Amino acid sequence: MNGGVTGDFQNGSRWATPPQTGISGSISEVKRLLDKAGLIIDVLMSGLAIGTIYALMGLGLTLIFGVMRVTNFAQGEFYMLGGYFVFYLLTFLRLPYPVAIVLSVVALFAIGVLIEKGLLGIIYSQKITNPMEYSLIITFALSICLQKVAILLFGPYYQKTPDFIDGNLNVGMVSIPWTLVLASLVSLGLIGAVTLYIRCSWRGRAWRAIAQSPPGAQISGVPLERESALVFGLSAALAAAAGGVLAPVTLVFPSVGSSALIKGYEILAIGGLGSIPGSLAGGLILGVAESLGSVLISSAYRDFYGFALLMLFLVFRPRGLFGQA
Amino acid sequence: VSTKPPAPTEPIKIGVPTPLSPPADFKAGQINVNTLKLAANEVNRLGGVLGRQVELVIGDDEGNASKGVSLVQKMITQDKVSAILGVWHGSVALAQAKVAAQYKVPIIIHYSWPDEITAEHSDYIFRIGPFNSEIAQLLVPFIKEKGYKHVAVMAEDSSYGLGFSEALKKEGQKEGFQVTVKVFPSQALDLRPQLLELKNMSPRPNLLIVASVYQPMYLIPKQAFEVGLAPHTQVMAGWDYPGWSAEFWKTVGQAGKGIMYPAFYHAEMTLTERGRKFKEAYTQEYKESPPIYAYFLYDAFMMVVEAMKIVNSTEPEKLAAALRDMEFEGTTGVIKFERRSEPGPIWNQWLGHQMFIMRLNNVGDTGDQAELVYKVVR
Repeated sequence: MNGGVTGDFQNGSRWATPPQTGISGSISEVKRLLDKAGLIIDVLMSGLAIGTIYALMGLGLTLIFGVMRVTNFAQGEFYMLGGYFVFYLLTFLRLPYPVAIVLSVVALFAIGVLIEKGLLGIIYSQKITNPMEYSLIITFALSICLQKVAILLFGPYYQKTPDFIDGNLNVGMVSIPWTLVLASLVSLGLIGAVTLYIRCSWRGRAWRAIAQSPPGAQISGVPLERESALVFGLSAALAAAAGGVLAPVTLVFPSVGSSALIKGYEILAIGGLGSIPGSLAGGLILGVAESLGSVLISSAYRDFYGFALLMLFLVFRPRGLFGQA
Repeated sequence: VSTKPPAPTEPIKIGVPTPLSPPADFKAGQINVNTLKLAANEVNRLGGVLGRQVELVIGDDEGNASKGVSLVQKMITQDKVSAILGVWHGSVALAQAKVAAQYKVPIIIHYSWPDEITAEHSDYIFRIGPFNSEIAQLLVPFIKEKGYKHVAVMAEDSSYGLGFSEALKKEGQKEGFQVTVKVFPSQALDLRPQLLELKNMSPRPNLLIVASVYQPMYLIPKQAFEVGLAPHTQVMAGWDYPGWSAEFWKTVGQAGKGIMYPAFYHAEMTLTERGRKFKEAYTQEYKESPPIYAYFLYDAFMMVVEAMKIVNSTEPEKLAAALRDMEFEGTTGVIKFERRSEPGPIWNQWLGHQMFIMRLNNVGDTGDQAELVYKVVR
């Protein structure tokens, strides 16, 4: 074998590490520990930022399960559609980011309501004896269908939306891309807004009433079918928001929702079914566990850490951190 | 295979199980089909082989091992194909090769990289294209010449990512440079923790190789810049996707500037007369230049045709025997399959590949505009 080379040539001696003793050795050890601490803090902050966006995904599933007592396997595809809507609104219509996100969220809310009316509304007609099994099968089919439609409409390619803002936020040892910081703040804002809405509005009280006792809520004048459709729409809108804000951080492609859905259910298991604080806590714990586990144990098992937490909670605390017994 | 000999007027069948639908790499699958159609038309125009026309039996393996295996079984047992060509995804090709070998039908791999495919030393499995440990070995002179003392590999948990990183690690141990491997799930979206860890290593890696075929191949160069690992650490793609992928600049943007990649083709590459004719015919027919794997696949088809002429038969076992000892002037050089008895992938394996290290110096550059940084010639 032979070869020729062009370009710069780095001197190997630059990388040689001389043996260190005494004070210089101690300084070197302190520097190594500081570097390690800096890395942990950096990774921790990155995990928290990602965790808030996971939480947004988990919140949508929590609402559906908490209020409607059904499961939704197509939630990941709402996340995927949210990413695509933002991508096309930004790149083709050249709308500003906030407008693109709002339009995407509104569109997915409407799609969510229509899907609930068309596919899940039958639950209330008493024709379905086991709504949970029905919802599981129908939303699983919907998930596959939406993925195939996305391939047909958008192609199987990876798409990247432009960053919100270029550059990183640098605070001490921590350096996080501004796009991730803003995505995290938007997620926190949305979680806060939904929490306030559910706590303070008439509709929020109605949803909580349905969650406690659907017949009781109905007797009190809450229209179950209408409110369920709105909850499903809001859940789809939250998934779309998560997909939209994460689109610049990751990529958009037809199967991107699959891992988002898995993370959503891991969050439910950690935080507790039907609990909004549980969604936030679950998202943060999952984000931090994945990030720290990747650095402290091995990055090869990044997806395993979420499953390990899920199994631990199911075995030792099946109701999660904030779920009801 | 117990087969009734076909009537002489029946066409000779070649099985082509290849990915033709997303999310598998259907673009590569289509190029495979186009290449073989071009080759079959060329042979059929000149009267076919042994007085018979050649027919391609094309099937979509969807990039799925179980689908790919049943497709190969169907092609062998029902369609009675004489050879299998055009397999693609590494893990699928590995399973398909085992099935072909089990039925004693020759299969020629043209661009699937796992070492394991030929490591079983089957008499029916042949490979024209490169393999993981060969690519790692070919990178060594470049790494040494550039003075890279610490090489990091971001390796996805696939047969390619794990196979390549393991092979480079062994080369590093032999040749005296440090290799740090970070394995990640192939569907990962956030690679920052691993990249931050590499950034904090002492000494920091001089070279970061991205060994992925899924979305992390675009995310890693970008996120390496975001965490501050690059450009201090030179980023290199594990294969040549930055040179031709339309998605590369759209997804990576400015962070892709200066990226290097190994390629098995370059304008300066030596082509034989057959290679020049193939390039011209392919470009005329499909209005684009053929990628390197199309050259290898064209060679595979023509070798099967040549084997039929040598043994005056289309029986799979006889074809396999002829292929083993054949010396064939292909598109990029004389192809002869090497067989080394010690354990390893060099069994019915061609080793005459040329490798080029390319660099994209400007945003939007294509492979044709890439700078040739290093050339490895055996």
